[in-house]
Amino acid sequence: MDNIEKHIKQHRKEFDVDFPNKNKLWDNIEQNIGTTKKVIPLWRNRWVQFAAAASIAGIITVFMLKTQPQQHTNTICSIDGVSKDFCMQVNDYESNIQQKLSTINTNEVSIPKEVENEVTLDSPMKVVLLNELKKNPDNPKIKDAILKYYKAKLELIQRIEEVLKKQDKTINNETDNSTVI
Amino acid sequence: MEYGTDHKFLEKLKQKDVLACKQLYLQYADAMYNVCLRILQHQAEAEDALQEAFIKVFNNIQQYRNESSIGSWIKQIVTNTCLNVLKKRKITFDELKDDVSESESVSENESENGNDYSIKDIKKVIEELPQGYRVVFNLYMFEDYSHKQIADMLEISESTAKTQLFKAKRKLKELLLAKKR
Repeated sequence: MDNIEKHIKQHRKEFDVDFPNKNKLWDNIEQNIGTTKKVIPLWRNRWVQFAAAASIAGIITVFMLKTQPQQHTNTICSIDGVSKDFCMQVNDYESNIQQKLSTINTNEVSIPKEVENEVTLDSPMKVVLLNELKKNPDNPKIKDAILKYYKAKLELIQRIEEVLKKQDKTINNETDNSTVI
Repeated sequence: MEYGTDHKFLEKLKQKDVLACKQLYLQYADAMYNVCLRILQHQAEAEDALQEAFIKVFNNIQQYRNESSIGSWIKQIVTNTCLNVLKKRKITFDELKDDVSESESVSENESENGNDYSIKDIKKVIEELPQGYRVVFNLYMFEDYSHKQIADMLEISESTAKTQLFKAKRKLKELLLAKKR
């Protein structure tokens, strides 16, 4: 072995370069190899379970606060005393949720009925939270609860979107496989 | 972790489990990208060849018999795929001339000190080598293939493979010396 050969072998790693498009290439490969994914029934999904639990909790809360007059859902920004920052955060969540819902609808995929009520922007839970906010527009706990409400909704929609995509992909794969046969 | 000995993991690959496939890809993508880039010297071509090679890997995983490490098996597929691309470029390999001997190379080698050159310079001059020299040089120096394996892969004689390597080293030194001056 000559000196240059030794030199190269000693510094072997330094000759390697980074692979910039590693993830992009994987996407292309994945599309061409027909991988399998475990399809979890929707009702076993923990987000759906969470949605169901949230739904039950919401109904109970509504009944408990029955004595209070039911008020029509209003935008949070129109409540006196609500800060601009909080208003913007809520607006961001609302527009994100609306956008995701319209994307799902334009793809001609229907949201399962079991969670339909949970993904819409208005719900009994929101009415309760708005009422509380009107009473205490600066209360951080109420604001936090409202943001968590939107966050949970958004996460649920994203999860549903993923499940629907997986189902769609599985159907496509099955169609492709049957075409090959 | 050596995947070749992990039976469970191999089973998942054979079932084309998406997570297992991605794990294998991520484990070897960087190294294999560098193999392609060294052979093809062109980023886009290297990525295309790598994609093709990994699709072959996943679609032919049933043929992997656990006799060698899965890494070696993948490297063989990647190398062959890249060499097929090169063959389309119609590279030529010069035959050994009578005036060139191994002893000549030894006397030259002893007078050179590899540490005199930076990795950057060596990388640069490797890129400047004629394609035939460069391919053999890279397969021998970086991918650790023997002359016999290189000869089989390139469909040339073993002596041609040796000649190419000898000439490549000599050319490399010439180019490095020229750079030094």
